Amino acid sequence: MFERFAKETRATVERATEIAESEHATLVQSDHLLLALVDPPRDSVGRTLAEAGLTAERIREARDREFRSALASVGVDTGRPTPPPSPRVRRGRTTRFAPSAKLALERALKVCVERGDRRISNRHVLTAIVGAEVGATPALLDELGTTAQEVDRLAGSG
Amino acid sequence: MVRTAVDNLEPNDAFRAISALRALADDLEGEYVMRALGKGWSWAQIAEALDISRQAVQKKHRHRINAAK
Repeated sequence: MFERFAKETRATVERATEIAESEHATLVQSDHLLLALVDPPRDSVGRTLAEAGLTAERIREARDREFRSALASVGVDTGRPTPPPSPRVRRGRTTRFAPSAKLALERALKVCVERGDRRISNRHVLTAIVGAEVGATPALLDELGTTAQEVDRLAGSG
Repeated sequence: MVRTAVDNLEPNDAFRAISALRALADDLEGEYVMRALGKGWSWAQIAEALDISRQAVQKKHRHRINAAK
């Protein structure tokens, strides 16, 4: 699958892995992919997002707010920052992908095919990440004061 | 009030809460295992308090000792 990735997109996946490892997460999740696009911004997609206020710092803050709001809905109150996802048993050094990240990359391929593009780009990956209709992503976008459609529009303008 | 809250969630909100609770539980477990060791608890005591095997608790948290060194 990675053979259809543009060079920029392979760099995003590598960066996402670095970010996940720096956060002591044993699995790379879709939020790490999103952060990888803007931490640091390496292309027009990353720059457009950052200029629109979707910086790495704001994404992390929004992730923390989403975490606290999810807990608040069941009566739990904590000021702690978002911990890494529940650790799995470590098998060797290579960090593996959570379903959210795998699904994002699979959807990115679909988006690429639908648009008739040859290579999977960071634009496709971004559309795929924010296109998640379940899980924490819709709430994360909400906390960022945006929507999947708005992010798509931004990515298109970059 | 908590009982009412957990019984009346939309499924996605419930799943978000469940994921967050799992992450919080593991985060707290890791932190308090380290605190307990610092206070002189043995791995066996920690395992008993958590009602899991000593092997499981060590496997899960040994990397924190290595990281702390």
